[in-house]
Amino acid sequence: MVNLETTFCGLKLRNPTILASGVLGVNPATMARVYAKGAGMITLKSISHETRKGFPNPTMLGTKHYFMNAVGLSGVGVDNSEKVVKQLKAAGIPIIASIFSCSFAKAAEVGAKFEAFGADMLEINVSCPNIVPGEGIGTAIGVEAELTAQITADVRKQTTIPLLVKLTPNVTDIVSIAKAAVAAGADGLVAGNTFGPGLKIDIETGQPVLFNKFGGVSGPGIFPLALAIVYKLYEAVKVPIIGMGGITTYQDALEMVMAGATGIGIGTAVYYEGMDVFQKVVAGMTEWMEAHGYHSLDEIRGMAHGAKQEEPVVGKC
Amino acid sequence: MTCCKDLKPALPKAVRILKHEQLNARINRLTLDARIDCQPGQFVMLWIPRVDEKPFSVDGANPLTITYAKFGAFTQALSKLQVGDKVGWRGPLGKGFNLVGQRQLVVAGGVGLASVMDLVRVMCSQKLVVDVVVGAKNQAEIYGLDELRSLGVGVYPCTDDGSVGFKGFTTDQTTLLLTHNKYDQAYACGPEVMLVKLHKLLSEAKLPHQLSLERYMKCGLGICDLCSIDGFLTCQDGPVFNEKQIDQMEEFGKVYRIVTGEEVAVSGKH
Ligand SMILES: Cc1cc2nc3c(=O)[nH]c(=O)nc-3n(C[C@H](O)[C@H](O)[C@H](O)COP(=O)(O)OP(=O)(O)OC[C@H]3O[C@@H](n4cnc5c(N)ncnc54)[C@H](O)[C@@H]3O)c2cc1C
Ligand SMILES: Cc1cc2nc3c(=O)[nH]c(=O)nc-3n(C[C@H](O)[C@H](O)[C@H](O)COP(=O)(O)O)c2cc1C
Ligand code: FES
Repeated sequence: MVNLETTFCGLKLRNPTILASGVLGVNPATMARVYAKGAGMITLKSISHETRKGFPNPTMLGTKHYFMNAVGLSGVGVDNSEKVVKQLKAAGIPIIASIFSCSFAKAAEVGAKFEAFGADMLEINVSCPNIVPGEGIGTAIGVEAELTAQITADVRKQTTIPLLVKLTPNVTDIVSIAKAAVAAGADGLVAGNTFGPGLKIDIETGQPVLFNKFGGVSGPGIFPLALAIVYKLYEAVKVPIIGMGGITTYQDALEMVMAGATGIGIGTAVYYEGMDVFQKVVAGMTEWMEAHGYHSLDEIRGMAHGAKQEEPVVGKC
Repeated sequence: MTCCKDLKPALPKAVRILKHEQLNARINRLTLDARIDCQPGQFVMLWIPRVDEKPFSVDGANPLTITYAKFGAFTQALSKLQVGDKVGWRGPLGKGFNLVGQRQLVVAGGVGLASVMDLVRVMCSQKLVVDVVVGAKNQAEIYGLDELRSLGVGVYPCTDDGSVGFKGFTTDQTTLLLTHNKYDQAYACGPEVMLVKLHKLLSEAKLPHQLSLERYMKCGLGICDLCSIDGFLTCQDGPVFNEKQIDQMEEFGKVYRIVTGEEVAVSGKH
């Protein structure tokens, strides 16, 4: 019997799939539907201390290989989120509250409020690339190890539930930032957010398609990049990792686990596969494991790291 | 993975405007140099570069025609565009109307007529029996009557002040029609207060029906969740819903999410 039950930061999940922040994370009824469609846990859309409109449209575009968004962190603000959390918790759904703020003190306050509402975990979003210069949120924090450590420590001081830090892949040395977050009190890591930002130009008008011009790149095209990051982090830190970025099929999910991920974050695949992606990935993983004689994901987690291999001599320099 | 031909259109195609007509002081019709293969009731996202992108029903499919009322910034900007200018569109999006039976009742309030016009044309091409109730505030705001009459359907205009046709609401006119005629299915689009009343009266009359609903739409792709009504995504599972789906919606007639995701009362969304 294959069992996909996964313990993540002490919380037992029926399977490792997790709805990524910013995708279908507004109406609790929609999130309950995603859970009913097989997700193991749900992340709410990133929320700060205030209500935000985000950018005008187009805020999203998609091609068969990749997706781009510049939503601009629109959101209802923490004080409008109590009902959302309570409704999901009343339905017994495990949830991560994703938080951000330009003020670290306010981020800590937002985290403490979500804890009081009943969220199971917190995720600090220091990795949204769609930011206005000077706003001091998203990647403005996440590209700096020191700032990442500081916001993590500040939120940690005001909260007790498991705390995750969602990293940006758009850095030269993600390992040093991950280590700083863990040293500052992160119980787990999410790797990671969108790449870029990228740009798409409409050739008929000669204009960028997204209103914000630039947007974070997600979807199938980024999967190998996200996988490599999870692989590196697994060797560098001891905390559990939610692997995220382009996961669309059960094969992608298995690769992520073999690279070392405990959680399987799925966002943009909702566009490519619909909400059914969760049950498809779970069913596919289960069948594959059955066919290969595995019982639990612990048996394959980190498998790709293996024993040390002979260093080849590639050339002289 | 899903084959790319099944993916929802997620990139606008920029095309020239072929025709831009004023139907009355508030309502314009835009004809684009494009054709679309769609079901009546489906919609497109219209893109004005550097301005915004918003949802509009397909009024006509070949060429692609949009009928819109001037509300705020986007529709004002749209109204300033001229023949030869380029706009982008992507679609078809969502689920449209499902034609059922022979005797059809169509109810349209205001610019909601744009969402059912193509449906009426399809009904006529199939030689079905069609009655259309068209409501507006007054004579200045009503449009489309000539086109409907030329299609040969029963046309029942109503205005709040009686300046054209029946004096009263579309729901009152519908009640009258239901006492005299038998229909197999009803279809409607208009302000949600009208749709709430209509849903009640059609349900009481045991007439199966399909309503086209409106919610704030950012993506049209089933991703942003703003258009959700109790977990039904209006852009993907709708905008046309049948009476059984509507019965499951507690937020119908009550809750509307604005661009921030905040909930406001449907009646106060303007
Ligand atoms: C599926 C669907 C089909 C539609 N078809 C038509 C149509 O055929 N003709 C027509 O005139 N209008 C149609 N609308 C409404 C149209 O999208 C709005 O009138 C338009 O977006 C107004 O933008 P604005 O900037 O001019 O006005 P605003 O002042 O911004 O808004 C005026 C009204 O439009 C609503 N609105 C604004 N932005 C959006 C949005 N992104 N999505 C949904 N509603 C919005 C607001 O809630 C408000 O009620 C449709 C809406 C939907 C959801
Ligand atoms: C439309 C959209 C909105 C997003 N909003 C957020 C957000 O609010 N907070 C956040 O941390 N990540 C956000 N993301 C990033 C995703 O959570 C995820 O990290 C990224 O898209 C990579 O995974 P994917 O390819 O599975 O989507 C958003 C992504 C998309 C496509
Ligand atoms: S408009 Fe974004 S989910 Fe429907």
